[in-house]
Order: sequence, then C-alpha cells, then structure tokens
Amino acid sequence: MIHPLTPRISQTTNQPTSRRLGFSYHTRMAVFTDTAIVLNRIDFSETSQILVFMSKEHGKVRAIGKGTKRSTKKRFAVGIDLLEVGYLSWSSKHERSETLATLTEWKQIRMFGGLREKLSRLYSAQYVAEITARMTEDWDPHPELYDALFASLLDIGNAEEPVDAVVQYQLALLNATGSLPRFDACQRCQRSNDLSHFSSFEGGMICRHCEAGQVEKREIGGETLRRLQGATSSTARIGPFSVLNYHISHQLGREPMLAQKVVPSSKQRLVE
Amino acid sequence: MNGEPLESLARLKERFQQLPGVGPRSAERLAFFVLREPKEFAESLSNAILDIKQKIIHCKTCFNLTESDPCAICSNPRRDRSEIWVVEQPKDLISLERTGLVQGVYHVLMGHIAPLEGVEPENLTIDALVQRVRDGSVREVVLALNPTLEGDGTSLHIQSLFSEFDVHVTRPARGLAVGSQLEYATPSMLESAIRGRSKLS
Ligand SMILES: [Zn+2]
Ligand SMILES: [Zn+2]
Repeated sequence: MIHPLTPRISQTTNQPTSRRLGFSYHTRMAVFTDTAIVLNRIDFSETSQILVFMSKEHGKVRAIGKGTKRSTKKRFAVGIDLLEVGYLSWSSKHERSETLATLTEWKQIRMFGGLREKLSRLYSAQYVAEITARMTEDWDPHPELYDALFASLLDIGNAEEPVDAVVQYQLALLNATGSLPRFDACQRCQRSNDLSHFSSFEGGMICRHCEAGQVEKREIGGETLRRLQGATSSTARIGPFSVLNYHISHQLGREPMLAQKVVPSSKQRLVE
Repeated sequence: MNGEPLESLARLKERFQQLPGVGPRSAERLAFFVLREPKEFAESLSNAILDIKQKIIHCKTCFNLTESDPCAICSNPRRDRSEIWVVEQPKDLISLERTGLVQGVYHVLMGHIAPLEGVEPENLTIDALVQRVRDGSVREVVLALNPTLEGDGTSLHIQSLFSEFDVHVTRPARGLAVGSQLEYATPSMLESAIRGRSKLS
C-alpha cells in the first residue's frame, strides 16, 4: 500500500502498458485513459450514474459519471449505453485507489448493433457483462479477458443461437480469474477415464469410483464433457453452459441474475 | 447554531435535502425562506404538495398521470384509438405530445425491463397493453422507448408478444440528429442512420 501523499511522478506503474495522461499536484488526482466496454450503469442521482467498465489495460473500473444520466454538460449529452465500446478517461486519487473514480470523458468507438436485433442475443450479452463485472476485481488488468469479451459480444451479435458463444466466454473468464475447473482428470484420484461427475468444490471432474465420497456434485453427460474438454465438434450447448454457470454461481455465492434469461432453469441440464 | 436546537426547522431542512439536487446549504436556505414568509405561504405550499399526492392518479387506460380517469387524451374523441404510442415514462409522453404530431393515444409502461435491477415484464404495464390491443381495433403499436439497450430489449419483448396479433409494430426512426453535424455524430448514431436510411421522393 503506497501512502496517498507519496508523489506519484516517480512511481513506476506495475503495468508497462498503463498510460497515465497527467498528474496534478494541486488536487493529487491522476488521470487515466484506456479503451473500455460498459458493463453496467446504476442510477445514482437525478443526473449521475455509477458506471462499471471493463478496460483493456486497467481491468475493471468503477467510476461516477456526473451528468451522464441527464446531462446539462455537452460532453455526456448522448448518454452512455450498456455494452458500447469507447475511449474512457477517469480520474482517481492514484492507481489501485479504492475510492470511486470520476469519469472525465467518454467517447464512443462502436456499439454491437446485432445485439439489439434478438432478445436471446441481448440477454446473452448482458449475462456475459454481469459475470465479468462480478467475477473480476477493480484495477486487476486482464487484456486477454478484454479481448475475449469484445470477441464474445461480436459473436453473440451475429449468432442465431448465442449459447455457444457464451460458453466460450465463460471458459475465458474462468481461465482469466484463475478458477477454471479441470475437466481432464479426476480431482481426487487423477484418473482420466470414467469421469462422471462435476464438483465445484473439488474444482473439476470426479470419477465414478470417487463420486460416492463427494456430497456437492452434479452428474455430467458425455457430450457435455467433450465440449468442456475442448472438442469443438461437440454439439452440446445447454450442458456446458449449465455446468459453467453452476460453477460460476458457486464462486459468486448466488446465480447470476441473467442466467435464467440465457437458459431457463427448466431447460438447464448437465447431462447432454 | 447557538442555543437550543430548533427541531422543527431542522426537520424541514432534512426534508428539503431529500429533494433531488438540493444539498445541505440550499436546504437550509429554503427552510429559512419558508420561516420568513407569511403563514399563508406555508399553507399554500403544503396544500400544493398534498394535492399532487391526493389528486394525481394514473389513467386506468394508458397509465398517464391525470386528475381524472380516463385522462384528457384517452377521453378525447378526436384521438385515433387505432394507434398506440408506447413510452417508458409520463415525461416521454409530454415530449411527444409537445410536438403536436401524434394523432393516436398513448401507453405508459412505467419503466423498462432491466433484469440486473430486478425489473421484469410483470413489473410494468405490459399486460394492460396486450389487453388493449386484444380488446380494441388497434392497427399500429409504436414502440417509442428510449433507444438504450434496456429500451430496445423491452421493445423486442413487446414485439414478441404481438407476433400473432394482426397489428403493425413500429418504432420511431433513429440516427442522425437533425441540425447537427455529421462529423460529430457518434458511431452508434451513424450505424443506425446507415442501416435505417430512407428513400427521398
Ligand atoms: Zn477418482
Ligand atoms: Zn389515458
């Protein structure tokens, strides 16, 4: 923890790619800029919102947007929509500051127009945004996850049936946050055949011989497992989504709000 | 303040501070203003406040704010009942009404679907809208919601409900703002304008 009064000019940032535009001794505020995707926006007052972004080089950023909801200021006059991409500038006491940052500029680069054409795309994209916001930490850079999110929103925006693109992203997110389960071997005895159940607690598959000793477990079908092991030829969609959503729900302590909109629980199944 | 705390003044200040855009300093100024004015002012202010809570209701047909049910628009015989303009909030209705161009009637949803905030279709007045279309001789439903992701999602949901109905579901044009400069348009405005270009004739 760096003392907030330490001059920031000499401080080297831990991210070589991190770009800091300026620093004012007067207010002791640093200004950051990055490319980002809008994950969530929550109304804060009549005119302001709390915005949650996934930035490319600084990870998740939460900032208060003064005047972004109903603007008297020209720079935010068009508002900031969910899931659009833009150039983000924000000021913060210092890097990794835990106090809420202040949005200073937003310049839209693009939107994913295809998302607005089908409800299944829209809900899938919102699910992807929700799990990103909830599974990542502020100021924890994940450029590869930003790229995966961008690619996923593109894919979802073009998909007839977006669940597969969602599965792809669930895997990327779990990988980036270090909680990707192991699907290749039994997490109790290391055997790679007879894998029959998934346990979130064990962090992966357990085999037919070990499953009796594990209370928290779900039976997994063969096609689902093949897809989760990386076989792109597998046609399983709902199964892999359900397993990964189950695991993500475990990590978060509750199911993502949008999960039911992607695949209703009546249709979620682990055996496929 | 020295001396004994003026409890009633503090209470009024606290109430003012709950109003949007009013900070502690302004709240104090407003409270002192009321204190200085004659008693009649305080009475008419508090009556005006009570009145809007007692007299203003939602029109049972369109859910617009009104003092009489049905509202002035729904009860106007010159309005075209076969055309329903669907909006999120009463203030959106006011904006459309101000143009003087809407011949039809309205339906106020009282929000938009926002799953992340727990706002589901059943929390809005969507059922009542479906009922109106089912009952009447509605020819066109115009989904004039905010062109945000949630607004568009709500439009897609409503559209799916009307897929078996013999009704045109439309939405207002979107894209470039009239009177603005193309070079300053955002990418999403340009994208909408390019996709939705219309024929000049
Ligand atoms: Zn085993
Ligand atoms: Zn009415």
